[in-house]
Amino acid sequence: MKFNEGKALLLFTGILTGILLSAFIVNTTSKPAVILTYQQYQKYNREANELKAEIKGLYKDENDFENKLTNYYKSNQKNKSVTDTLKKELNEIKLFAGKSKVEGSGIMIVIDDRHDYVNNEEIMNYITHNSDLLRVVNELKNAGAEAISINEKRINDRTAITCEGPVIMVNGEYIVPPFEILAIGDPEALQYALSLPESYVSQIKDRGLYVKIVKKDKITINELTQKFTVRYIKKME
Amino acid sequence: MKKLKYQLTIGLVCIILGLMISLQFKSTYSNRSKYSYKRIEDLVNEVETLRKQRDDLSAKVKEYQSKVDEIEKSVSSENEVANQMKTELDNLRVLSGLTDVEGPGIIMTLTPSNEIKNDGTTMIYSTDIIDIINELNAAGAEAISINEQRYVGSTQIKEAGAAIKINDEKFSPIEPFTIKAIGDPKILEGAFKMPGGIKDKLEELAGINVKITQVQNIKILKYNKNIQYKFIKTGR
Repeated sequence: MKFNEGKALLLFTGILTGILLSAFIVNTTSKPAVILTYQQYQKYNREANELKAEIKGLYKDENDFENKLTNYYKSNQKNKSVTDTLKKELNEIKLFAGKSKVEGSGIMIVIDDRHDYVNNEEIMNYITHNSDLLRVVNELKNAGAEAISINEKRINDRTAITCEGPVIMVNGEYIVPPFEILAIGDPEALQYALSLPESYVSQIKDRGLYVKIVKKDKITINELTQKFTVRYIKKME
Repeated sequence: MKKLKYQLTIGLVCIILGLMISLQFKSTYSNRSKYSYKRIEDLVNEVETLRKQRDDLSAKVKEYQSKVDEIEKSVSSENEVANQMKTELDNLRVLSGLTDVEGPGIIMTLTPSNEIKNDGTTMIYSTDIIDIINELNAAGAEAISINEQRYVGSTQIKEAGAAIKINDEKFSPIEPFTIKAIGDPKILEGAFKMPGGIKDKLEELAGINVKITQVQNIKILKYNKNIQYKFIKTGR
């Protein structure tokens, strides 16, 4: 009896081994090294993202060019139609590039250093830093500001706000406190965004810097005067 | 004697069994990619479809563009004012981010840590990106994109729920970000070498890996959103 029991156990183990063995073989042969590494996966992901962005731009182009063409074909005075279109486009693009003087409703923010410095305090907290201005500009942009300037320097996509010791540099030109930031946009929305307790402007206020926000019906912001060099970018054909 | 032989057989079978079980486990473990085979296949297919779509569209747009150019050129060849406007337009388009551009520069990859063992997971904040862009601009970058979103004058970069929104497109702050910049590659990279600078802060304090590579030719896509202003009136 004892002998039979052992045999049964052996048989059982044998069957189990067989199943496992076949499962193992089937498992490994059906997936012949198709495992993408994380890096490869990321690469594909990145390419998909790239292509999607490119396709979006192409759809926009297709639409724009199509409209332009129908307009040109429709018009019986091609010369005038083209000149008018170019003029309109030039105005739009100058606006986009910050190359035109603009006006509209908005807000004015004045920021100044703290002047009640006492010894042993952290002096850095008393000063307006370039990073402070950068954050405020960013907050304004995110709240929908359409044009921004700091002490008459127009902000655009190539603007750097950097620390140069005791002064701050914007667009390669020096500025000193008090800083007057002008922003065109919805005055209510801009003021609301800057007054939220978690806003950066509230933080620098808490630090003790002088901050004043004034809503304005009419603000004028000058065009960008700085000429940015173009040495490296080439238009793609 | 017979009993010993019997026991040995059982022992051998057990050893083989144990070996196989452990192998089985190992093979499922080494395949530690989070992504299933199916998802990867889908992704590869998607990329192929997108490539084709891009090529088709691109050909169509080129055709339209050459037609528009032809008309505009025929007019501006006789009309000096139109000619000047066209030249200025073409220049400004390149300058302000409305054309695809190429040139030498750097590619930065910000990778948040997702190791739960060590410092836990880390993430990228919108202000990190803004600081990097400011640094790149200070180093003379002429064109910048973040995850293929062209950085232009009106670009907003902000937190939106659990995502970072750039030009109204959402990105996950726990996935890697790719920032491309065209300019002098040496100077662009050098701007991040300062000890205690942004790169150090991101790596040491925020737990984000920063990789910078100089590249001889980078392609940066144009801004692909509609442009509209509600509050600006152009001054005359």
